[in-house]
This record gives sequence, structure tokens and C-alpha cells, in this order.
Amino acid sequence: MNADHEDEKLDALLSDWLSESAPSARISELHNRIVTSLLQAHQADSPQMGANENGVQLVVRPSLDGPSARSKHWLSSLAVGTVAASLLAITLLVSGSNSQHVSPAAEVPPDYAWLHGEQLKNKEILLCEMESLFDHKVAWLAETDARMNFGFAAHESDSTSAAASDRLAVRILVQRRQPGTSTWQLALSIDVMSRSEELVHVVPQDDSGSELTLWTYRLPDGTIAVDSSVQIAGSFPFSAETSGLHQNDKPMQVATVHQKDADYRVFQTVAVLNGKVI
Amino acid sequence: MRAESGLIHHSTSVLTACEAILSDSDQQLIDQFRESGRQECMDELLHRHLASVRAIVFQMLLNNDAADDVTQDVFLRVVKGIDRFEGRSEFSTWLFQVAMNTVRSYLQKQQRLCDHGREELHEYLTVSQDTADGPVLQAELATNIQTALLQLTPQLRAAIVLVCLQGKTATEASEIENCSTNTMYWRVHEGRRKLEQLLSEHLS
Repeated sequence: MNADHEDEKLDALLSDWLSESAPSARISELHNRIVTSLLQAHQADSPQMGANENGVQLVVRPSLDGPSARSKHWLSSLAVGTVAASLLAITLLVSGSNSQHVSPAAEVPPDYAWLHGEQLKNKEILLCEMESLFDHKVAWLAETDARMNFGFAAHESDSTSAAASDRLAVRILVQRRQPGTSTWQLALSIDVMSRSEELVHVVPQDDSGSELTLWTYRLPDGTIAVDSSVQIAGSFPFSAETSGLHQNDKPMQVATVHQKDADYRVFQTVAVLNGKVI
Repeated sequence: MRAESGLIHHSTSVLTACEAILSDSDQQLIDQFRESGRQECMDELLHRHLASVRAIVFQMLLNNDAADDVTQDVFLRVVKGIDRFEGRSEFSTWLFQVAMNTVRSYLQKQQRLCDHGREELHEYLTVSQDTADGPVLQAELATNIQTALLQLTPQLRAAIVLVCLQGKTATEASEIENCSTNTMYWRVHEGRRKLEQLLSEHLS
């Protein structure tokens, strides 16, 4: 109820802002500008160009070879667009209170970033046992050091509908090093087992003040989209939000953060649990 | 007399053609453009959709000059790639997909150019002051809203823009963003949660 009330207030605020931010005066000017740019872009293809009574006339004609030839003409543009769209699927935004530089850099992941076959098998067994124990109400499991955290499906339908979805294991590692040193030390390691599209929010019951929010989605092509937000409190506070596409069981460095007091890098590994043991 | 009659006949024909275009659906206009390259068809599509495309682009970028540039790029891409539109979805859905992809492309390019992290990218995408002087909503509040929107990741911002600002259903928004409906629900939920935190002083 409270949350709904907050949502209503937010919607009202956004609605007010929206009504006052519509730049109608710019639209007409922009319209003419676009028409002009389209005209210029198609000069090569357009046999006729001219100006109407408004000063600008858009003449966009297909080439004499018809639409298919026009498609070929734009093939290079489309290819670039397709590659760009693929690259865009991997977006990364990292925030940190003292962050000075953030970039995803491709470095060799540490050995312990990999989810090996035996580990995956054990995780599957663990997940199956927990699901069986809690009547398939377990939405996710998270392991931090020797501690185990559970998340339960909010409604019966959630667990039923999710039963057939993919089960995934995700390992998130945060490494830290002091400025001027070359040795990376493990700052945080969390393994999560969940279903695809399950929202996972882990707050380990320890003194670290760490927190993880994770969401995964397996795409039809087999890649796995992962959004994550990881936070470490204490004397070396750190937080990062990442969003990217992962290959199955292939560690990926998703963030590098340089802060005043330390450098950080975040690795993520996602592996599909095949569910044979269930 | 014959000349006058011819002129009237010609004017009537032009008027009838214009009326026909105005009453044509988006799909009909696209078909005509593909077949004959009629300039009026693309002009009409531009006229119909420019404001809405410009609106979502602005709401994603929060900068008027950048929004104008990217909107122009969107329509260039649409004309170049019109043969790719297969009519399996509404033209407006496809158009919004192109718009969102172009926005992401722009943000990525700026990220690479700046390569100074999120904070400096935000500095580049400065909040437009000329939209923050409305009589009802104070300038400071408008600026705070825009700053809060900029602090969302592009995915979450897109969800908020499409569902909360543009009134799309989660299903429509998920089609534009090429994700599942559940994912869109989650993104809207998460985007709202973060905005509510960032704008808490105005919501209390």
C-alpha cells in the first residue's frame, strides 16, 4: 500500500515534469532540419530535387533497380548498424562514490573465477536438495564463504511457472589492490544459484555490509544477460552496477574501478545448470 | 476557360491525393513509399511520429541539442532501413526500437569519447536548463528529476521512459526493448525504486 502510494506520487511528479518539458517550439525547426538532411543523404539516389513553397522539399526516390538494389546500397550501413547493435547489448555502467575511472578491461580472470564441472555438479545437487526440502519454493540460493542465504518465491504461482525455466549458477568476484601494488586480493566472492529471470537480492548475515542484487535472463541464442549491483561497506566502500551478455561458463571481467584508496575489478561467471540431477 | 478548368481539376486532384495520404495508415504509406518513392509519404510519416520520437529521445538523453541530433539520425536510419520493416509489428514499435538503439549507440559513443566514467558522461549530458523553468514545477525540482533520471542505467531509464512517461504497456515496451515482459516489469519496478530513493525529498 505504501509502495503503491509512493509510485503514485512519483508518477504525478514525472507527469508534471513531462508536461513542462515538451519542447514544441523546436519540433518545427527540427522537422525542416531532418527533411534537409534526408534530402542530402539521398542526393545520389534521387534524380529530382527541388524546393516547394515552404523552401524545402523532400524527394526520396528508389533507385531504378528497385527496392532490392536500394537494400544492397544500404547493406554496409545495415551491417555497421547490426554490429553496433550487438555491441550495444553489452552496456556497462559502474558507479562508486570515489570512483575516478571506470572501464571494462579484458584481463585474464583468476583461476577461482571459473565454475568447474565438479563445482557445478555440487551446486546442482545442493539446489535440488533445497528445492525438494522446501517443496520447490526456493527461488534462489547464495553462498558466501561458509554461509548460505535463501530466497523464496513470493507466490505459489511463481515457483510453479518458474519450475521449467533455466537454472543458472553465477559467481561474482570482487578483487581489490592497494594503489601502487600489483597483487590483487579477494574482497568478495558470492555464488548464486537461481532460475532465469529471478530477481536475487542477497544481504549476507555477516559484518561485511556487502549486498548483491542480481538478475539473469537466458536468451534464445544461448547467451545470458546479467544485470548486477554489488556493494561493499566498511573501511573500503565500493559499489558497482553492471549489465552485460555472458557466454556460458566463461568468466568475464565486467568492471574496473579506480578509487582514491584502492583499485577494484569485478569478474562474473555464469553457467547453465542442466538439471539432470533433479 | 479551359485553362481555368484544367487548373481547378489539377488542384482538386492534388487535394484528393493529399487527403488520401492523410487518411492512409502507416503501413500504407510505407508500401507507397517503397513502390513509388513518393516523397509525401515519408513526409507524412515524419510529421506523424517526429514529436513522439523526439520526446523519448530527449527523455533518454535529457539534453535538447543531443536529442535533436539523435532524432535526426533516427529518421535517417529509418529511411535507409525501411526495407527491413516487415510489418510484423506496428510501425511505431519498430520506429521506437530504432530510436532506442540510436540512443544507446549515441551513449556508447559518448562513453568511448569521454572514457572518463559515468560522472563525466553525465557532465557531457548536462541537464537542459531551458526545460526547467516552467511556472508550475520549480526549476530546481525539474533539474532534480532530470538528474535522477540520468543516474539510472540506460536500461532502467528506457523502461521508465517507455512505461511511465510514454504510457506503453509492459508488453509493448518489452517488444521495443527486445526483452521479456517479466524483464520489463522488473526494470520498471527497479527504476521506480531508485527514482523514489533519489527523489525522496519531493515525495514525502
